[in-house]
Amino acid sequence: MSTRYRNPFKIRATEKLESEHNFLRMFSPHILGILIEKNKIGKLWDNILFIRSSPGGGKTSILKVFEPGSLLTLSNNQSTPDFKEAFNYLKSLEAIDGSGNILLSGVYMSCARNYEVIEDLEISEGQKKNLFFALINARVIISTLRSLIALNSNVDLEKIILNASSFDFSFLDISFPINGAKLFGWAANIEKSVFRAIDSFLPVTDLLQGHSELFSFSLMQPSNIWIDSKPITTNILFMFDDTHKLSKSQRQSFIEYLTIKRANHNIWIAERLEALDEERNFGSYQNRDYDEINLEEIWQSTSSKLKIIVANIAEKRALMSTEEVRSFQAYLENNIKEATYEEKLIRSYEQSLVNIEKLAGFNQKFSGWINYVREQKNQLTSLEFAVLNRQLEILIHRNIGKSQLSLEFELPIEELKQKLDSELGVTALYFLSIENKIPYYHGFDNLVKLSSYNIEQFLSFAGELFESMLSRKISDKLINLDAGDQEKILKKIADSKWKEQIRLIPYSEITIKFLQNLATFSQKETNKPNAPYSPGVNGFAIKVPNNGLYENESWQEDPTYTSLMNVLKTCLAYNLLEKRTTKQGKENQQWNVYYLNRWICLRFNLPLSYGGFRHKYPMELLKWIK
Amino acid sequence: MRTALAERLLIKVMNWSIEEVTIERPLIQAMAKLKYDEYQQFSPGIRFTESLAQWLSQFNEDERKVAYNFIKSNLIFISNQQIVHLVSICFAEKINPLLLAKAAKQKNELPYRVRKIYNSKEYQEIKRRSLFLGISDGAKIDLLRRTSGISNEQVFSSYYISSEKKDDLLRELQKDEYPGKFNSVYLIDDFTGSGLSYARIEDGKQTGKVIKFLNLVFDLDPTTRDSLVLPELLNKENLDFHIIFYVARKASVEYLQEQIENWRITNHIQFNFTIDAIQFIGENFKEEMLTNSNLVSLSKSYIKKAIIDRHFIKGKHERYYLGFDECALPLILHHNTPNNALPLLWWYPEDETFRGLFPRITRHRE
Repeated sequence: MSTRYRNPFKIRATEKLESEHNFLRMFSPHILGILIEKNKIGKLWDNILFIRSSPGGGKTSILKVFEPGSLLTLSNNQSTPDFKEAFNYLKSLEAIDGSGNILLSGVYMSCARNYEVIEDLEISEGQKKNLFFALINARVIISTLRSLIALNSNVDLEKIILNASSFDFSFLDISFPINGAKLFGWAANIEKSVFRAIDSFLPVTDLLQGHSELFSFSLMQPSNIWIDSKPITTNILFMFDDTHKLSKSQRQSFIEYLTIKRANHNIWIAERLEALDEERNFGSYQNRDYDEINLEEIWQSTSSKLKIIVANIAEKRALMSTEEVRSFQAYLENNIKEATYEEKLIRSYEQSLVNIEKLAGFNQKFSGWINYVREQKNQLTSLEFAVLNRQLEILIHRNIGKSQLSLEFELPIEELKQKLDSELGVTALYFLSIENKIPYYHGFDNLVKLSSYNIEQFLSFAGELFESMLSRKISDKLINLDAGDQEKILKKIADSKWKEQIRLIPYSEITIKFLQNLATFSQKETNKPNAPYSPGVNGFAIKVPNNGLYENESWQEDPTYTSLMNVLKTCLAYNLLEKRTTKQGKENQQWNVYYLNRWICLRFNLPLSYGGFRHKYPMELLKWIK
Repeated sequence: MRTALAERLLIKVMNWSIEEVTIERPLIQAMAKLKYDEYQQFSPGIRFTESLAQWLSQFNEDERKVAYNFIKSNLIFISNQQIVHLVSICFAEKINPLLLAKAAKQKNELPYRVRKIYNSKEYQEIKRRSLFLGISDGAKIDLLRRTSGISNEQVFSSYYISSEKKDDLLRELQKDEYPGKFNSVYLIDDFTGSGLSYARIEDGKQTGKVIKFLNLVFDLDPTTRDSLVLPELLNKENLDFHIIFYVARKASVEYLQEQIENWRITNHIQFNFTIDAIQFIGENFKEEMLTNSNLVSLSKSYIKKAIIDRHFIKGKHERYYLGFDECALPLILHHNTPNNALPLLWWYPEDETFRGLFPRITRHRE
């Protein structure tokens, strides 16, 4: 089967690709830098680590790198340019040594299989929990044995011996030492018994007892495992994926057991944010009993790293294309073609001049500023002059808006120069672009912002841009996408995403209404002539009602706000809102700010930067649903 | 590389903008990869995209849009995989229910007691005394046998059976402790569009593959050398006769039923018969084609009377540009396009004045 694709950007869920070569070719190893940071502070190994993100964040891909197939591919292709970087990262993580020997056996288990169905059995809660633990134990054992065989190709189950302490595991109906085949059979029988209970149409009379302990982690430790009469030298890493697919009680009992037990096992748990409870999402975050990597939060704090990663992903994917378009970033023009928009830019600054005249023509206060700006005309391009004039317009509005006694002295030019900062420049550019229909959403940096720190979201936009590049190539046109082309394509995608939400998300009607109202509100706040929340508003923070009725976040439990909570939970779980913590106000008070996902900002012509938000009471937010 | 050239040609032919290329190209590649590239009658070096580009280039600009939209929206392509699927479910869907029904009747058993009927000796006998014959090689009788669990000794790829083979079949039947003849016969074929190949009136007489078969079975055609084979193989007095198509037009099945009924009446012969298909093609497809006036007009412009040959005249042919018997089917079979399909799809005359998108095999033989 061909390992090259026409448009590799359209391949999603690369962790599901059967070929490790293809997966690793598309995988950007820079994402493993997050794990290196955890390793440096001693929180990566011998620990329970949660890897969380919204769908498409890259959790499963991180786990797949540690599976035997991937490790073997890297070990056998250390010098291959495609894999060298990934190999070096894994070396830093002590998963592979310098000679290519594999030091870690990743054991992957998906929680999407059958566990939740146990809840439907007509048995007691205790029995359900025991069956659930039994199934986990069985699968941990089976998956570990499979993983060991995958790593050691000349080994079969008979050659694997488990020699645990009979004293420690006296409650099990197996005796040690036991070979892999017998252990596999024993675990498989447990799995079959659970399935029999699940598949039975009638009440099960000989129900499996189940297990009250998750002993399999301690059992399948390297110290207990021998191959060919020698103890194994690889560490075992247990990886659970999609734990959000467990039932609420299953997930709770699973995590509680692991965190309370606190044994020094390598256990990684990957899950979507939707699994998290209100306290995690809406409350202030208290001390945790485990370590967490929230991918989106990490990218938020180190956006330059995300840029490197997605740039790497983009270039790798472009190289894999069967068409002769071997790069991605190189064909995205970062700036507008000023000549094309010359007329509009002139119209823009002429309008600004008219507006400024209307605002400030009645007194001398701003004459110094106005003259200074006018003098710049010959030294600046039309674009620069238009931005400058728009900035001036904003500053005049701000000044006029301040309620202060003014003696109407002419304002010094130094004051103007001080206020002409980059943030104001960005706001001015935003205003004049939107007002004059000049492309604003273009360039690789904006594309990275549009991803809202989610790799799949980046690919969904980049995929269409790349498709357009391919179309241009085959039509014998210049491959480059100019700013106008990019914006047109990106807006079409955002529009399409908006329309499909109705069938994708729970509580879709009220959620869409809420987002629509939030976007409209943000537009209103952003486009005030004095740009008070420069560079623009696209988020909100929830203010606790000060009517004395609620303490802290207890308003969330008021049934009045059930629908609002459902909307907010949905928005967070499906990455329609992004949560960020910021400090503002008295004594640097901490706020959880909920920002619109950047693609929604694009849809509603809002700026892509973070920072601008408004405080809202829950009752005000509730009105956005009605 | 070749595909890229074909795509370039297609883009020029259709005069697509970049936006249109972005939409259409992935679709064409998907259609080609999924099914259309497997068409077995393309010339060497030609695949779907190349053929599409060549086909569309024959039309003028407006006509190309009509033709392309027809391919995108209306074409039915039955792939090899789909036929294999139909073959593999044929026994379970069509044959076994008949066997079970017969066994239930014989046992005087309630028809829904399937397991009981299945395990009965009546069922085993009825099944073993069934003969499965292919009408053409499209019947894939070998695959049917393997997916049905029926014996090799009750299957043959044609209804023209030699005397030696007849003796073999009867000998094996006897060995299985079922002396005597076969009680049921199943004629299997892959496709019928009009039914005319199987039964029709020619020179005032009924003819066609099925009619010939019946004439042989009931010994009404003593002129053939092996005329005594089928009567010796099959129990004429108590015969159940079944025809099964993998794909068929509903109208053609109804037509065949009528023809066989007429044959029965004319020849005063009684036997049970059924005609069925696993996948029916409804009349709505023909109606859709006929209501597309642009498409009909296109067909009229490019398909010439030269299409009418000695096979074509066996069916209705006043509107010859609608295909054999004016069926106007938007249908391609992976191994060949039936002549009931719109000729725009398959016609490729000797003088090469027109080239169908999926050329039919008759062209290539010549």
